[in-house]
Amino acid sequence: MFVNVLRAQQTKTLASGVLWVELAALAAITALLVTLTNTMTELKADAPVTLAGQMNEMLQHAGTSTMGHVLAVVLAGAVMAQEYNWRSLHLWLSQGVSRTTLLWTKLVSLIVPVALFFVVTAAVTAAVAGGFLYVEHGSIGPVAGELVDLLRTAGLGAYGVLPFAALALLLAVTGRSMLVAVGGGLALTMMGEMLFVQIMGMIGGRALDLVAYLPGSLVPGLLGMEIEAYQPLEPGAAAAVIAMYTGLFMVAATLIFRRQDLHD
Amino acid sequence: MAGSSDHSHDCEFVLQTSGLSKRFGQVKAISDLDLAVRRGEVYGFIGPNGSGKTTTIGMCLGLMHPTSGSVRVFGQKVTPRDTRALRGVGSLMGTPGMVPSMSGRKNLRLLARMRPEIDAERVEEVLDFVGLTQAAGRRVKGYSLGMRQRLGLGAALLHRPELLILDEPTNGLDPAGMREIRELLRRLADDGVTVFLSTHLLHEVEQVCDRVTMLAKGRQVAQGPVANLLSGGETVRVRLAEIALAANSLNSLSGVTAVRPKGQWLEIEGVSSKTVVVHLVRHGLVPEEVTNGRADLESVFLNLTGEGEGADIGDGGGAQLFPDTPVLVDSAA
Repeated sequence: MFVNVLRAQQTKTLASGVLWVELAALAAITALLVTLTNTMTELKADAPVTLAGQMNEMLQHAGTSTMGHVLAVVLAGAVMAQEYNWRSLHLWLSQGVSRTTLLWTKLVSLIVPVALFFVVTAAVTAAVAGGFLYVEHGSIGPVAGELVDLLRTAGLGAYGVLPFAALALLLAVTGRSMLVAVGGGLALTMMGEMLFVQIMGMIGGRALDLVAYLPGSLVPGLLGMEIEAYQPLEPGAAAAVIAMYTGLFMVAATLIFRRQDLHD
Repeated sequence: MAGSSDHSHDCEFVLQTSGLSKRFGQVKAISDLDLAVRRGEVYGFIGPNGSGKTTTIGMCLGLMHPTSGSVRVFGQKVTPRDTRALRGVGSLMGTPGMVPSMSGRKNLRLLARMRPEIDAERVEEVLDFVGLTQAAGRRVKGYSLGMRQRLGLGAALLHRPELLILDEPTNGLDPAGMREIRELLRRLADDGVTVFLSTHLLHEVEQVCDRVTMLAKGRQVAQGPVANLLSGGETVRVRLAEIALAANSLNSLSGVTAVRPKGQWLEIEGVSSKTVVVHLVRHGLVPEEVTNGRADLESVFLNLTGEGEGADIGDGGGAQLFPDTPVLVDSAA
């Protein structure tokens, strides 16, 4: 049953208008960032001179900046809240699909769209940066040898986005509305974490170590990046904490969903 | 139509509720509801808006938690945490839950993805069955309410269910559409599908249902075969000169549940025209004209719930309306 429901969920998620709007926006933003990187003198000085280097940088940016998190929150919150609005939850549940299966397949069905965020980032960067590099240097540098690294960055970045998708699902189930899911998710992602970092910075000392455990601080740890403001977790620990956050949010969402009365 | 499900459902009752109750805060939406729907019948579940029909169906479909009591489908208990028994059930509850940006055909194909046994041919067959082949390629957001209802019905039929639970399926349909749905329901019943039909349109029930449960303010007020309910609700109309005298006399006649003077006429319920005439003649009152009106389900329902104009259900409540029929009546109603 899980696989069959997942197939249906995947079809529905990939048909979501929100996903395609997000991908279009992401493509436009990526194209703009890559153009600025290759044209503005200050940015150009620090930019890698190979295509693989620029792609890796943009993929890291998609995974670690709020951009990837925001896209995941908006997509997950919207697709789940729409299920309540459209009453498609009623239809599926009344056909004998269990609530737990429905919710967890929803999360799993978000993996492909999240992966698409990174595919689009990579593709647009390749096209735009490739153009600039070829015009300027007559070459785009070696790419084939860097493919494993690029895939690793994209894969880990996508994995790091999962807690945000789970958080949005939890908020959508709790509030049964897109406003609560997307608005609440964005507030927590964009302002909540920032506020926490500022408070910990003011306290200083050991308190600052806690910043590394925030969902938004885990991907740098996962990618083994150096961060000035705090010491990121080791990759293994970061991966475990990401799984823990995702699991916690999903278990809470499942418990709430299983207790809900679904009426008009 | 039915029977492709892999469930082995041998029990006589395909849908049963026992002492089913639902409370929302202080409001008791459903009280001690006992339903028993037999395999192959078209079962009407009737009551005015707000009487608790949708709440009951919500509990039957595992969408709502009962406050007390239980629901069994094909003999298996159904709760929001265990809805496996519903895999052999098709349902339509309120506005069908479709993806508005997808076409009708794509919505059905989406549902079919959950069940590998449903192929593309079956989707087309269902679209044809509900009369949506022409509009199948259009997005659902452009559908009229009636078209959405048809699509919802199609979704309910897609996996060849053995039990169909429908909540107000003719909502938004024009009279021709309503008739089509009624005919469709009878065809399904002929094919062996059990239909549980909730509606406030009594005319609809009278035409398609074998048995009914009447609900008012969350309580079951009557249950039984439609024919029995209707025969119990026979109305005798008598025209005579001494209206007041005759009314007094008939009020004392055993079995009479209501006596209503209307101009030169008296309307009597609960007994046959022959009994009325014999009684009047014995008391020296000669009727000038006698007619025998068979009550429709609406008047029976209004009498039972006390909502009809001039309704008079007597001391014994609705029970006296059906003295000779095997009808279950909740005396507390």
